[in-house]
Amino acid sequence: MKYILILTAIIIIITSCKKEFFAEPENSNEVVFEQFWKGFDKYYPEFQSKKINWDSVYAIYRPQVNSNTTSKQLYDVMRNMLNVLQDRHSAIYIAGYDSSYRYNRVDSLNWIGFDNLKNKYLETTKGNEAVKYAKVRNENVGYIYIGGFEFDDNNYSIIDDIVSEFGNFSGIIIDVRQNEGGALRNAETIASRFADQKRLYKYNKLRTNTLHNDLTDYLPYYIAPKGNKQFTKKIILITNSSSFSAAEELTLMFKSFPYVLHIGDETQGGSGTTPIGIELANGWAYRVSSIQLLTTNKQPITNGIEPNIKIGISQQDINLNNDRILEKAIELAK
Amino acid sequence: MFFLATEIIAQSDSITKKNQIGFGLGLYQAKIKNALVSDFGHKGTQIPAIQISYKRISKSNFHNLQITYTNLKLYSPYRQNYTTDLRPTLAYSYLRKLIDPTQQFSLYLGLTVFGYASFRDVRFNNEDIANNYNTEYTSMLSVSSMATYKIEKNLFEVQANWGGVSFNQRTGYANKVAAETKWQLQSFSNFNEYSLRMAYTRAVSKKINLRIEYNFQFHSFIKPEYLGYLSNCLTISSSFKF
Repeated sequence: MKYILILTAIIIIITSCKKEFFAEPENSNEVVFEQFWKGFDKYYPEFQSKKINWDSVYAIYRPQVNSNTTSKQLYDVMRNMLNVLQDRHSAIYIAGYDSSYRYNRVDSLNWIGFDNLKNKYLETTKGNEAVKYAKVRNENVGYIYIGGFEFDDNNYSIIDDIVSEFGNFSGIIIDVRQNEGGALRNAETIASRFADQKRLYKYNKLRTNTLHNDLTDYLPYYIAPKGNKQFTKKIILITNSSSFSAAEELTLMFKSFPYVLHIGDETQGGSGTTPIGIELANGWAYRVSSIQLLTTNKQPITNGIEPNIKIGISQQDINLNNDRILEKAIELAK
Repeated sequence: MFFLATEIIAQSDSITKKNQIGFGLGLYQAKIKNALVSDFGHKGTQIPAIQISYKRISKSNFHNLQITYTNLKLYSPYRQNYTTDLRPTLAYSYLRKLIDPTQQFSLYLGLTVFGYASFRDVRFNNEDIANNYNTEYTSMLSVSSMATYKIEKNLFEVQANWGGVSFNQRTGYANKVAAETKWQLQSFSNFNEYSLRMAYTRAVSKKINLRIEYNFQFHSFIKPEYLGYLSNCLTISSSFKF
């Protein structure tokens, strides 16, 4: 029995020394600020490409935080720091979901709303909550609207039916305006039904060390045909400044196909997908972009993906439900 | 943790002999600290956890296999932030008797292989604000020692394990952030593992044993991001022999 007690005592002594496990962070404004700043300092991949001196940001904002700083003031400091990054994948979330903030590049939406568009330009619309499709009125052209990639994966397998149904059309319009992204795999499901062969569509770069310019080599990503049938005739892709994240990945996939024309407005831009969420010492949380997304020309998509034909909708046309971008797309897809 | 188990013991009504197969339900408590997503430890308790076990005791060898299934929701001090962790765990010990001076008190020395798959998801403000889904596969090889004391129908066991080497693969965003961390063989310098098992078993009839067992486990990895896990488990078992 003596041996049993000795053994037990040894285990307890050894395990009680794990300070890094048992120590919890102090909850103070200064600690919260430091955690927030250090998270970006450690993981954010675009300081160099955006020419941001993060130490200077620290020098500006750290003095604004002390024990007397209110929660609202601390939140405002963090918002201002996020505005320096101009990156919609990075965000601050307040405990209890009272508020949250992430940068948004404000542009004209160039969007009349799907219901208005449907009533004016389309025949009977089919589909589901994620993917809607219809024949364009009086034209041998198909139209597909994808409002997001965050829905259940099963919604996107409808693309096989659409490709079969639209197989004899002269062209297809794919509209991802107001699509704020979601799961990358769903974007791949869609794009793979329009791929003629395996093609490089983007590079990623990741942070590897503590220095801001310590990034991996260019990591290539490919899109390849999937499904029983692929549509490889004329394709017109429409984006606007709210097309973001997985919708931008989809845009890069389509732009790798030589038979695709991209029209509308630049996408939202920013860094790549897969932000990391991190909890702060006061229960708030933030997320930091972790991957730099680059085109096949190895250019970051910081300012959005440029369309082949840039075209907008005036406020007057929006008021009259005239979608000049869609009209141009129909003209090109005929 | 209270763990209600059923054990089927073959061949003998002796409390220490031959094959035992058990199934049980119980309560499990754990704390996880994942520096990638929080400096806070997230804690949780589960009733019931599920355990299946196989034990074989011969004159000079001791085999013990335990499979434990847990599906925990571990909260940070701020209740709106939490980690879900689905974790099947397997532990197998092989120990060889060193001394048996009295037939009552025995010492064993051997090895334990401990492995688990952890499927984790971290939520802040109850929302998936950034997809922190993380999958981890880990196996650890530990040096084990065990002391047993048998008196009439009572058996006491104390087993301690010290981690030696570990095979730890983390996928998901932890992997992407740190890039090339796949299949990293961890050495003792950046890996810690200690575990303790204490059990008291009493044979109440030719067919039935009763047992109370406590399991403690702690392990941590330093790279690529600190990841620590501590669990406590106290079980009460009823065993059937045939």
